[in-house]
Amino acid sequence: MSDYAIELDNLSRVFRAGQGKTKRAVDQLSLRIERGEMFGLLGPNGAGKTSTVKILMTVLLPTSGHARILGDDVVAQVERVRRRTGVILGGDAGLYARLSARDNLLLFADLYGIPYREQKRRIGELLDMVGLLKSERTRVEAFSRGMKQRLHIARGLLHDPEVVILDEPSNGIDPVGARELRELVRGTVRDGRTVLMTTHYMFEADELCDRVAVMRGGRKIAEGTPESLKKQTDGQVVLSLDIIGVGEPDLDRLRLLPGVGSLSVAEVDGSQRLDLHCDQQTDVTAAVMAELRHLNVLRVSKREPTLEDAYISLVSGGDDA
Amino acid sequence: MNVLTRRVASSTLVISRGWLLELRQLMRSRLYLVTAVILPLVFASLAHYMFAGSHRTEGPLVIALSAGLMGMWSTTLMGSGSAINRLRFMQVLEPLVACPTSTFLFSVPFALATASMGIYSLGATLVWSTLFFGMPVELASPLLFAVALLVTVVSLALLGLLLASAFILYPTAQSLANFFEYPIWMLSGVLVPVSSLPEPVRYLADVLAPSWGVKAIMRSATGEGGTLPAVLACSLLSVLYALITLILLRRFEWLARSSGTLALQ
Ligand SMILES: Nc1ncnc2c1ncn2[C@@H]1O[C@H](COP(=O)(O)OP(=O)(O)O)[C@@H](O)[C@H]1O
Ligand SMILES: [Mg+2]
Repeated sequence: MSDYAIELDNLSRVFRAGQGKTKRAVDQLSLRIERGEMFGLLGPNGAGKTSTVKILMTVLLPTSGHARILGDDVVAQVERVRRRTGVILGGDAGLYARLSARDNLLLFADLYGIPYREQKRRIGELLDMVGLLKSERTRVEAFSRGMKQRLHIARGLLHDPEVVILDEPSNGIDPVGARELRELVRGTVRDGRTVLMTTHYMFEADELCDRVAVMRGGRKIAEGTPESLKKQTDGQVVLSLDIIGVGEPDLDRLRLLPGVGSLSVAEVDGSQRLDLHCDQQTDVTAAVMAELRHLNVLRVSKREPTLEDAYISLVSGGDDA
Repeated sequence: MNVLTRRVASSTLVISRGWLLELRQLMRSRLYLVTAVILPLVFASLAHYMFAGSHRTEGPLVIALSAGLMGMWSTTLMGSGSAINRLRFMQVLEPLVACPTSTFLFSVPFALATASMGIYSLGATLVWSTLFFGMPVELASPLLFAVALLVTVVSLALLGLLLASAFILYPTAQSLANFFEYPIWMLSGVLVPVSSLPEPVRYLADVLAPSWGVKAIMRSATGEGGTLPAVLACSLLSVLYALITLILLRRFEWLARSSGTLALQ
């Protein structure tokens, strides 16, 4: 019996990408998640989070490496893994749209082998927990995005799994709904479950997770408590510029400046917001302005790095895979 | 033994509820309902004009039955096949496969549901034929007819499932099923009597469970005898299909996990 709830050993998944090319969605990923832990897998779109989740839920085979849930191999011991793992893929689809919430749960309760006598009670409890008891007879096609997401959660917990895996639970949900969802997710760990959730919001991982791993290009680029990731930006300041017409050659020159760590660009109302993560010791403002003198700089400010900056500095630094 | 009985009992429950829920879904699709009403009408008129304009020696009942069976073929075979793609499109194929029960268990209900629609299609064609075209439906042996019909529908559902198992792997397999529709009509003796087909093709018809079912249906309707042997052949072949499907589904599930085709792309 393994000591870990979830264990990944050099897990890789390669997809065929057409024209003889291949895409390495998950690349030599290794993780150890303790029982009872709430673990966050963090990364931008395309980082390989969903592919990792699908390997763990046994609907996708790894190309190489191993993954074990509660000691059971996700390739060799499929049935045991399926019995003890609940997966919440979420999203707008993934449910029987023409059936009611209750019918959706009944159908899956059958497939999870939940005894007839217990089904009614279990489904009632779960519908109550996710706040859908009043809409249990409504067809899912009439549900809002948030309601569907809550039904996904209820379905994932039907068989009272020891390990729960959630893929971007609050993606596409309004802020209020997202907060309620996080409350629900927090509730699932309380009963001693192990939870692995993916997200591309650092604050969400910070709010919910004991530990996080950050992925980029299929690889793990950082791991630790949210606090320790935040510490990576200790001794840094963020130089923030609103600017018009900044291009890749400018960014390349900026990256070479001594004292500039990583940088990120975002479009904001017709201008660009350029965030430079800089060393506190060296004031790079003058050097940066000199490099950008041919451009129209609207505003310059300096601030302390936030948690989001720590994340951005991680996923935007270094070479892309 | 006790474990086995319990397994069979719970599987039966799962399948019958899945069947009901699947029917409920079909009933809620307006497009599906409209085709379910119109198709039998089309087939009934087809039967009528086929009968009126040909020198076929069969009675009106056989002609009406033939047309009804064609409708049943289409509904059932196409239904099972497209059901897998529908699940993939709804993105429930992955959650379903991730359930600890076998893939067979979630596939059977939709095969049965489409088969039930197949029975309805046959029944409706017969009713329209009687009402609009004055083709009397007098069954020589209603009880045997019912048995033959039931067995045929199950065999059709299982054949559809056999084809559908390939759909788990190949999202494009729908065209394959469409491609099969006409040859199987021929082979099953729906369009023309199998005896008029070339000899090697006739052997092929003999391994198709539904073609025995069609024989049984015809024989029980006309009272020419030999219904039960045909029912038996149909049932045995159906069991064989179920076994092959069980093996194939497991294999195809593995291949689909390897290629990543359970997901909608
Ligand atoms: N079935 C597939 N076939 C081909 N490429 C895929 C497939 N699934 C995912 N990918 C690719 O793998 C990479 C990782 O995707 P994914 O795991 O969905 O990342 P994330 O969930 O972090 O956004 C992406 O580049 C994506 O295009
Ligand atoms: Mg994803």
